[in-house]
Amino acid sequence: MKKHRPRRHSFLIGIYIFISLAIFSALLLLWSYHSAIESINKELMTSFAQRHIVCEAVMENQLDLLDLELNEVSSNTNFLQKIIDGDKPGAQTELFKIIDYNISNSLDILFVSLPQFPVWTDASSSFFNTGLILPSIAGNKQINRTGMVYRFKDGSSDLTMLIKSIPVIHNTTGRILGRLFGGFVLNNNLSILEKIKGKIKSKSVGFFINGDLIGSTDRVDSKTTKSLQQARRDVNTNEIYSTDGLIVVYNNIYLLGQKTPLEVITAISDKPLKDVTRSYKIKTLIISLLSIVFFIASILIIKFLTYPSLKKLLLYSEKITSGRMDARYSPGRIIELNQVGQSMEDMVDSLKAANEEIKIETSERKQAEEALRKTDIHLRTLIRTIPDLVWLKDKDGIYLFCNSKFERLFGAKEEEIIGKTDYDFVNKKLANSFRKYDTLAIEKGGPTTNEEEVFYKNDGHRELLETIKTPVFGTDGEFIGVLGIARDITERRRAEEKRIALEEKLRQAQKMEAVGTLAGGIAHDFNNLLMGIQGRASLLSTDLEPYHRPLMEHVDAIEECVRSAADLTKQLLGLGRAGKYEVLPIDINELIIDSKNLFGRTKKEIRIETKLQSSPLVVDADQSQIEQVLLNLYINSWQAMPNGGEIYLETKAVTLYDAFCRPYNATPGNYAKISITDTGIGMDDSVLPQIFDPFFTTKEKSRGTGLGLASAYGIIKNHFGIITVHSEVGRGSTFTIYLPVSDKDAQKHVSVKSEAIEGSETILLVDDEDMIIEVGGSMLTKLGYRVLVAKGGRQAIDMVQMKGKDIDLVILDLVMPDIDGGRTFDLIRDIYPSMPVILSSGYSLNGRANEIMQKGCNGFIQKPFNISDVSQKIRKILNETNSTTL
Amino acid sequence: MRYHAVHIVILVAAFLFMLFCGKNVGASEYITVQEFNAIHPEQVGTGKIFSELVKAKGASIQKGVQKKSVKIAFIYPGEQASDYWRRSITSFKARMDEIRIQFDMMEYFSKPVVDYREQEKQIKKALDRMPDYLVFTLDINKHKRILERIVTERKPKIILQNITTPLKSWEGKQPFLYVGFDHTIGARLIAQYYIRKTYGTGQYAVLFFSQGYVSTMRGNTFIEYLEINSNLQLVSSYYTDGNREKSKHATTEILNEFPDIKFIYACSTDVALGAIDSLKEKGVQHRVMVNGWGGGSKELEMIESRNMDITVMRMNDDNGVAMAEAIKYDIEGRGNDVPTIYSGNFVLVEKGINQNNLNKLKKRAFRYSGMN
Repeated sequence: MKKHRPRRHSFLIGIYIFISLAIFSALLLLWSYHSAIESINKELMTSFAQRHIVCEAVMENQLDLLDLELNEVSSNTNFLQKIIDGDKPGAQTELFKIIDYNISNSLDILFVSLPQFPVWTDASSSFFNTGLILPSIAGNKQINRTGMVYRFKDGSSDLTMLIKSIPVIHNTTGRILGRLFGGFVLNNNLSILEKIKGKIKSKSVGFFINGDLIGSTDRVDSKTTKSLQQARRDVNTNEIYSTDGLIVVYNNIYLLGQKTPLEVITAISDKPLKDVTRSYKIKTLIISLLSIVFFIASILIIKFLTYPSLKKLLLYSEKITSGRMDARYSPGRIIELNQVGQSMEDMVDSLKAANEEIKIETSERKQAEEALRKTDIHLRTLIRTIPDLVWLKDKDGIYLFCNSKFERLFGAKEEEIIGKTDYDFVNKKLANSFRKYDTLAIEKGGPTTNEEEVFYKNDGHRELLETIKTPVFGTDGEFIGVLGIARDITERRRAEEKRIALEEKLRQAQKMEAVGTLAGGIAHDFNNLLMGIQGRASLLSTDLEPYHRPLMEHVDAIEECVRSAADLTKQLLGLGRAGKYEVLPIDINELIIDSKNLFGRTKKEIRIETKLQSSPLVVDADQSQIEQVLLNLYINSWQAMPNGGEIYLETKAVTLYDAFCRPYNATPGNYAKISITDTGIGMDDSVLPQIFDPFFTTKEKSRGTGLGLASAYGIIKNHFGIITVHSEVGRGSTFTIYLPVSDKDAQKHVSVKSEAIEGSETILLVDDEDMIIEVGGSMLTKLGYRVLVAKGGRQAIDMVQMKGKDIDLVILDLVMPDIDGGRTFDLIRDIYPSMPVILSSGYSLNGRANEIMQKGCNGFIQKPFNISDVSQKIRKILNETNSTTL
Repeated sequence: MRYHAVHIVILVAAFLFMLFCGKNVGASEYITVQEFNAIHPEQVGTGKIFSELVKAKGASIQKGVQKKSVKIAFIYPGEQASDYWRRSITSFKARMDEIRIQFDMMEYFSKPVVDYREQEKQIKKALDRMPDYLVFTLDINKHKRILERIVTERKPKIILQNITTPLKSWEGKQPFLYVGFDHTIGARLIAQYYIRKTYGTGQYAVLFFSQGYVSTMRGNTFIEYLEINSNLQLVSSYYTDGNREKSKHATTEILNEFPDIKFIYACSTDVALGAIDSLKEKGVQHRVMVNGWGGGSKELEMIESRNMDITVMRMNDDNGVAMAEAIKYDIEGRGNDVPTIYSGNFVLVEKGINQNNLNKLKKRAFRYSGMN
């Protein structure tokens, strides 16, 4: 960058002012000079017009003079007499006398013409060769009293004259004797020329005829005469011709209205113009000198007046410049400069403060800049290394920038991409698509988002990209280009799809949870009711004698209804995952075989094929509930194959991982996989999401309750398993059950004969339901037991405290309003740690019941129970207790 | 309407212009030597050098300069008692020969005034022969009317004799040379003489030449000088056309009418001789003074015979010598060294002058034309 050398601007300003003044003065003078010249020219033309009139007047005066002389001659009696007498010499003498008398204005031409003698007698000047001229004049009819400018020109003569003729009349008879001609030769007629020159105060005067010079007041070879001739050639009439020292104008004088003019050229000295020019030159010189003097004087005065104060100001300024910021300004004589000095002091103070601020700011700014630089580097590195694609295109779609990821997309380096467009790298269709979204972003003026699947040229892989395109504007609002950022969302899209599926499953689970809770509550209360019915029926049946056989059938029917109702409540409890009655390690293979056999016997139109895991598949499960699940599924398959078909049963040990388990809220690990596949009608996608919903059924009302699959779902979930379905319309369905594999060995489930066993011990029956107290109490009493009753937990504890030593067993309701079964159990065991307790509940063996069982509760019996069930349960526990005690 | 108004304004302006310009019309038609020198101061030095040249012995023209013989037309009214013209042409020729200029002379003689028509013809004839120089005089306006036709032409160059006061109207185009003796100087010398002799009082009369230049220069200058410098009273004046008889007649009438007159101022030799004739007849030649003009041979005879009281004697031959030297300079390309006016010297010669002195003057004045 070119560095300008400091200059003394005060000097330059001075020069500038001086030059400006000089130019202004010069322009003013030039303007006034031109105005003066213009004015002079106008005046010149006016004066030349006046001269022209004077010329005319002089010439007309000459004509008058001519007229006067001719009249004098023609009226002279001696002269007339000589003519009458034919005395030619006498007449000539008379003419000479007249000429001699008017010696100063003597005529050059004077002769008498008679009819027979064109030139009868002649007194013309012998200086002129008039031999041929006079007959010509005499023969010219146009020459009369009016007079004319007459030019005679032949080989030897060229004369122009002012000439007239008057008739010579007989003084007595009045007869015209002849004509008298008289005139002045204008060639070199200095008398007339000088007369004109004198009257019009000109420098030179000339006569021209038809452009030929016939006379001039100056020598023919003089510069002045040549100038006149030049002017006659070069300019028109009434035009100014300026030449060497002369101003020349020529005019035509039309004497007496004649067609041929006498051209009169007048020249005056150009002194007036020169004087004006000279005057202006002098004035210019004076003004220039005065300007210089004034300028120098001004500079000196200004310097004298201002220098001391300026010096102080300068010294102060130099101190400040040298860094002495604490220096103070010493005031001078000029108030304004003192004010400047004061202002400078204030400014210096402000500068000091500002300087400190600037230092801080500079430091901060440097830090900020450094940080910004680092940030910039980081940002650039980030952008280049970011796994997203980043690029910038201008308004025409030409790449300005791109990062490494983007390079891979086009399979080219950034420097190869910059300056090119999409059309240089991808097919036209895709490039059009890119361009379309670029345009969309530009038109929108804000970010746009789109997705596009692209093919990477570097390795050929494909990605689904989510692209955000944003128009970029400069600080001045100028459009720079479109910034694009594209992110690979292939995996995210997959995860989202999975998440949606998971959410759906979760939602389904939550729904089933809610339904289960509802169903469980209903089943609990319903079981209590069934307990009352079952109890009464049991009591009634024990009281009937054989001869009461008809009544017995009714009691059996009631009990059958209660069993059906109890099955229903089981389904409901299963649906509500309200617990398992009895969890034991069982071999799924055996269970499959047993259930297959059972179902196969009743549905002969169905062919059942099995493919079972070769080794036992042991799971911890309530066998009866799993059997119910399998049966429900078999029934569902059967119903899907109204015309018969095949059911394929398969078991397999599998390992499930977290990805698979998470949607089902299951724990990864080893599972027993049970597949039930039919060749039925299948289900479409609209049905599948709802098949595990309670009371959802595609069958007519008479064929299902809509609780089968819902119950199966609840039971499997209650066993910490997974149940899924895959179905294709027309090809059948497959239900798959995953149950956690148990590390225990399988136990055989033994069915116990159902008959009542009597006893004599004391049993405390605890329940908040009066009906249960009443029925239960009656059943126990019927069995021979001494029954104590407590209508709640508090009462039960009181009775244990009072009569604990007499109580052999406690049947404890789980759900009670004051103190629930769990707390009551704890308190009882606090008093009598070995007191046998059977837990009773309308719920199945759910979480709370299991908890109590884990604490050492001796048994569980689910309502409704009949007298046989309860007798066997009591006896079993009392026997175990007694044996332990022994 | 507007055009007429403008026209009237211009007419009025032209009228006023003419009035203003006309004030100078009445001024003298001639420029005196002093006035001319004032206008052309360079002429003073040129004139002095040229005067010395005239007085000196003639030097030959530069060799090789003259390519051909110069043609000189001499038209002069020499047929008069004064031998000025004759001596002039004699001395001219002698000097031309002396300075070795080849020339062809065309000489035309005429009477001084009335023969102007003849002079016109002579000029016409001379011009037809295309001379290089035309030597003429300028006495009357008729001469001026003729000369003005050629004064602006390239050829011939005009030399005017017996006139040393250029025409004012020819300023800027003056002839090649005015040569002669300044009439005003001579007139003043004579006037001073008369004042001295009369003590500046008394009556006097003037006998003019013809109406024209000579009368004006010699007569009017004399009258004006006396009016200013004396109490002498002009009682009578006559134009004599330079005619001796007319002069005698006029003098007689003056004497009859004014017998106490102290002197008669004669403007030329012939006029003076006519006056002397009358004075002799009346017998008052010793009481009434008379003067000559020019100092030619006739006048000097009258001085020697005491019939004439005073004359101004021209160094006559200087006139012809000056013309010859001017032509020489012109041929040599030194035309600018020729003064416009050459005025010869006068010497006042009174009756009773010493014969030796007179002879010396004659020898000086007539060095080429001879004593007789």
